[in-house]
Amino acid sequence: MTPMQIQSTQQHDVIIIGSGAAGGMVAWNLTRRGINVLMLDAGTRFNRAKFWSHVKPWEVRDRLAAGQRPPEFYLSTKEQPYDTDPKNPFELIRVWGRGGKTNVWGRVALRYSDVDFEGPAKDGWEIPWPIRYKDIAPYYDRVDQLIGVCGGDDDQDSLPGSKYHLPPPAPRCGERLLQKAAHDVGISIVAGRRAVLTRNYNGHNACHYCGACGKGCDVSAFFNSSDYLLEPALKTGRLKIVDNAVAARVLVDGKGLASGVQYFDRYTKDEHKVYGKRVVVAASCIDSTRILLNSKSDKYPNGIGNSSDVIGRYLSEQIRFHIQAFAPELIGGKVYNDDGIGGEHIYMPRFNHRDGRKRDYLRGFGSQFWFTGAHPGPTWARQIPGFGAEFKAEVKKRYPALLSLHPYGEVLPRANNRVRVDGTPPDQYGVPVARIEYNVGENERKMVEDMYATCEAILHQAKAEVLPYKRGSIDVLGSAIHEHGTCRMGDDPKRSALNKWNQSHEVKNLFVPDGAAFTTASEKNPTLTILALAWRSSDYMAEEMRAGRI
Amino acid sequence: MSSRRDALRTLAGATGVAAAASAQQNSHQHADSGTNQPGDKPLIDSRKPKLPGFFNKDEFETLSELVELIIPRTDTPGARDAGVQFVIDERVPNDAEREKTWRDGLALFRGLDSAQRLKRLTQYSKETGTPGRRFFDVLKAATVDGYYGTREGLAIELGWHGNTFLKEFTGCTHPEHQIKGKP
Repeated sequence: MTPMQIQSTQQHDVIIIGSGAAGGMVAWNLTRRGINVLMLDAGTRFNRAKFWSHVKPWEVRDRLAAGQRPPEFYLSTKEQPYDTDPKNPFELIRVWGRGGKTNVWGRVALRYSDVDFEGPAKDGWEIPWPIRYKDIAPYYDRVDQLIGVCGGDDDQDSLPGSKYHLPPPAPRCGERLLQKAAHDVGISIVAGRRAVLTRNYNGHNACHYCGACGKGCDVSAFFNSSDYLLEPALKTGRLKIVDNAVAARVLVDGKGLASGVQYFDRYTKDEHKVYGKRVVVAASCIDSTRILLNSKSDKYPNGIGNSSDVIGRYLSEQIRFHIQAFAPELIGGKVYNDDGIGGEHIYMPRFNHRDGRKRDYLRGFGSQFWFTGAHPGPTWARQIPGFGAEFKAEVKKRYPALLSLHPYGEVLPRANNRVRVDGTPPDQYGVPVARIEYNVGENERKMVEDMYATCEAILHQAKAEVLPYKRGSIDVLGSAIHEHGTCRMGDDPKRSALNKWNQSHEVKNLFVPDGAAFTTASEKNPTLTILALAWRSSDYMAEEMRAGRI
Repeated sequence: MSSRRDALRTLAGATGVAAAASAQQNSHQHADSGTNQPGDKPLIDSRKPKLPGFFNKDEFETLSELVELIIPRTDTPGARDAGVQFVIDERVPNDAEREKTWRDGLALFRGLDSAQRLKRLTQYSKETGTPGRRFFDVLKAATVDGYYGTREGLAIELGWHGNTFLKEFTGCTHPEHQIKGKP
């Protein structure tokens, strides 16, 4: 059947592209303020009753053989490709469907601090952030209270704002030993901050410690945009969600304002045009950028709102690697149920700015520790030497003793780390795909050395038996799934695409509240900050609407 | 959570009456398989007697012996008991390079008796950079990943007992693991 072209005559108050953390928050906040919202989501709602949260690892084969399938969260590159240099690949993880990546996110919910917001202003690398901690702190408070974040009260200058935390889960043995060893070498490892409910909260269920969060939570005990934001927004009667709507371009009117969105039905491939007075692009960093760059017109030949040529540039993901070791105290010991809230209960905040030692690089790193303890999928057993009965016994005695370190470091924004759509092949809807060109540089290489040295110091102090690793090596770029910066905010319209309200400098009724808006990536997981910025931005948007300015 | 299916499966593994157990199991979906939906096909039992889908009879026999050499039966089940040879047989196809790696690798053990296979595997494990060592690494990785993903490897051997419903999570209570003083 030939795809059709369908135009709607209705003019919506606000059209939002994307249903994840950013789009969900904007929809929730605007609808509760009485504003009507049309949301375009590239998939459909995931059926929580069908999640495989409680399918044991060994049942998976049987189920697959019987023709059952787990929910398909992750978008396949066969369905929707992106372009990347095979010799220098960038891994892009996307979820099409209601709630986006928040269905399966890592739930690490860290606030940025002024160490992060003031970083570029202090060291002079690229543009400064247009906001400081005090600007966003009230919104962090509100987000913490709305979604429920568990954590300690052990704040650091690099990790502020614990006042609304739910009780933190107790650390596992290995995590305690890591805290202790780090403490002995002068490094603080604090309670993790995670958007997991350690008690019933705001109508959502408490975590039951099954540890299978990565398969989607069957009781919705961690924040996800679908249940925590979109469902309440739908109850207002002011939110309409179009399923399977793959957004392609933002439409422009004669005055150079955003006038609507062109999208394609994911399956029928029909082309639709919907119209609205304001457009919010929240399709996740890379896809928001692709949509903006593809939105070319006479007025904006370089993509909507991109006369500065900033959009698409300054892609900043994070560098990370993984080191695993065994705690001598735990080798041969009892095997506990270490599931907890899934992932680590501790976090190592950035400290390199305050320990008195001068670094030969800019910015910093922190660390996560997921997989510490006894978990399914002990692939580390491959690295235990030998084979046979002795090998089997060596694996078994180490099973309760695993320590797992995953440091994350900031990547500096650089103009040539970029997303482009010029000359890229079209997707199945005829829309150019994103090409991702991304490298890390000398600053990151030096930081990685310090990250390794830090892990080594902690593990040496713990007298741990460390599994072989290659010093200096890093994980595949993009694999941290923390893309930022390609539509950055700033005070200078020549060097930034958005103002401090996530509003386009050039197109006043266009907003970009997702990770693309970040001026820098920091070393932290971005979702909590995306939620706070999106709330703040949509408050501003609602006020501007009320005042008749947009 | 003790499961009727697990009990049947252990029985089947021990006595070789898997087919009967499997039929019974399929006729009665147990409540513990909570994510099954009306209309879902019943589960099949991976332990019922079946034939390899990719490897030929000789290759499969060799593979079964090799996985058992990597992780043998001790006081707990070994890789062959756990059916790792079937797991590998399922995972190898649909990638020409991977298929060749396995076919060529298993051929290195063709026509050898058990003692000779053990000797050759031991030799490969001590080499560096040879085709034999490369296959040893591939075999070991696949056996490890397969075995510790089965109930035999993960629950019975390693003692993992997670992915269940807990009212609270106790965490570490050992005084000797705590920081002394303020963290």
